[in-house]
Amino acid sequence: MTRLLISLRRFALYRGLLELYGRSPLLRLILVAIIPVLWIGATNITPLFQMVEISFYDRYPVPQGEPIEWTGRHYATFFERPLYITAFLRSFIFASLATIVTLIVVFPVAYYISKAAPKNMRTRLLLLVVAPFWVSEIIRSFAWIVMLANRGAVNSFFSLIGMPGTPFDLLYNNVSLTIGVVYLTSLYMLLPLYAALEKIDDNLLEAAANLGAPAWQRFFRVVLPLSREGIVAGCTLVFLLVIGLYAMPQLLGGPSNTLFASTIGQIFSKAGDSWPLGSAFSIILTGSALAYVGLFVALFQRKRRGRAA
Amino acid sequence: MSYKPSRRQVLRGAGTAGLATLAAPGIIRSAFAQTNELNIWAYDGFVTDEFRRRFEEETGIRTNIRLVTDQGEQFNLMAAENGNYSADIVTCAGHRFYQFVDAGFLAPIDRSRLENWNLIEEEYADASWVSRAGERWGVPLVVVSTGLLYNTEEFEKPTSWDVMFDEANAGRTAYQIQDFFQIVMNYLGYDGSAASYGNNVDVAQRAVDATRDFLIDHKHMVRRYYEAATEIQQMMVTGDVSLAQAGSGPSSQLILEGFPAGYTIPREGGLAYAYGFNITNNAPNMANAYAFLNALLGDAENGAEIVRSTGLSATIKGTEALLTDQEKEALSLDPDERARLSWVNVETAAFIFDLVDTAAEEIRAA
Repeated sequence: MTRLLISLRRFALYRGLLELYGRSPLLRLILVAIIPVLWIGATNITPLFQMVEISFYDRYPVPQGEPIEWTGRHYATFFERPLYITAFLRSFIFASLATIVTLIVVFPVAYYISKAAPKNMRTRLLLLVVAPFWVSEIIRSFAWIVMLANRGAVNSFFSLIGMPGTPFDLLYNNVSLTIGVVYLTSLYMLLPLYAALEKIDDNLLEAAANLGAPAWQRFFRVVLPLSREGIVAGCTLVFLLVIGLYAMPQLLGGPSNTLFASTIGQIFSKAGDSWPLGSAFSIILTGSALAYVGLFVALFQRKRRGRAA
Repeated sequence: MSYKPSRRQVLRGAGTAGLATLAAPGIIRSAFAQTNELNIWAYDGFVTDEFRRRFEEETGIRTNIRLVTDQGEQFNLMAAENGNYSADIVTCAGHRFYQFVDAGFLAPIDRSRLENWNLIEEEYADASWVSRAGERWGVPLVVVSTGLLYNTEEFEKPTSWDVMFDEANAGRTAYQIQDFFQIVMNYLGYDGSAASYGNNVDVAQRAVDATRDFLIDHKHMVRRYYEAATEIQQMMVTGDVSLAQAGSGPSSQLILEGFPAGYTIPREGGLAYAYGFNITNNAPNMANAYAFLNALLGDAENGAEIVRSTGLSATIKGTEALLTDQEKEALSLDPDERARLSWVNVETAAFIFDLVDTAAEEIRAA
């Protein structure tokens, strides 16, 4: 590495950059920050701006030689058709419920790993939980299809033990979708929760126990308030992930579980000038989801400030 | 003495390097234009491995295949490429190609460069669904019908689409909304092709709305709206559905593989259309595209291979003679069933599909 840096000094451009780098702290900041800022701008912000722009086009692609016509009619379409609002509300309700279920399922796991498990086992346990996430979302969805199909592993087991009424319809409904989504998002809930729970001083729990607080009281009066930051971060991540889910609902959901992201996907995948409508719907979903999460975070922060005061 | 560049020189050098990087794709693309490559977007099985190998060996042209799954996907990819298409050949359905033509994505076929055009079955070579604005826009390759796929262990051969809406079969059915929609319009007594509505949008809209409401009312009976052909095969095999509106391709593949399935065109009718290969507008490897199409049409064996890999009927003359009896049986429909098929009306397709596509979104969202 040192040799490489020495040989780089032969190039005037590199020497010039080094000299500029040393001249002022502001310049150093700009040089260090420019690549990540450009990266975020190019990959995150630019497509969003382009989507906003296209959402106001009358049609897209614009035929060659014809001028762009601007309109807000695609936003109006959302409010004019109640069926779209149904899917939109369904998405928010489903994402909220899925977030709560994920929190309930993952919290004990995070608590066990961070507090109850032997310290030398914690990293291994975390790796064990994270391991399935090395496989893609699509492959894991297909694994659930194999498990939950009418001739799948679960129904075969029920049938083997003589359970009446088999096969059960476990696939293409709320059951399969919720199982898949909780499985998919559990990592995003686990890591912030683990980080927050690990920081809680064990002496606090011991002191509460010594003062006669039963387990449930220690949980509600010590563990829960002190892990609030992790809960907020985990819920925010999971909610935003679920509200925009596309592939998994397509594979595991049924006709009655169409989420708004799937509706947008269908609009975009249609041949014809459907991009402006899809873009408008995407902006509505993105804006609403961010507002919803912002409200959630603000409520928690206000509560914390109120208590501190 | 060491040279120290000024700040201006450094910025100018960095700017030049940036511009060179940004211009690189254009420079590379120009350098590779008209090479010995051919870029094709095709459905799975439309370009068989056997034909591809023979073609590459004989011509030295390397084919790059991108698999696609539906018309909308290709349309949107081409829209995003905005005239600089990375594909030389795309695969268009006979009932959707007008959208590609009207958007300026395709080049008309120059028959003088296709000496093997006469090796396409006559009924397909001169069909209306390759013509628009006085030009021919593609080479028809395979013919698809849309009918009723059923599990023969659970059902006798159904004679009507009634079975799809029978409460006794709730949770055992599946369909592709857009493909099924026109069939349901016919089933309900409307005109699925919209030919009889002329350009009367109000009448057509009422028919589409009534069909949409009917399908929403029966939504609880559907196990799943599917998209790709492989999905319906998977659902039949896993036992999740026993009845489905399906294409002839996936249906005959299931039958050939020994799955207890049957395929029929019920008395209310089914639809038929074709898929063809179309050359993109200003295709970078236009000459290679014509060489490919000529080679494909030039041997009936290519048609037989496509039949085996897709389960669809090929349009190349002499294909049927190369099929086994089992393959012929799986592909064949009896004369009554063939008579119930209606070809998609290209003249009204643009008109009716715009309404159907919107209704399909609403059914999913409901």
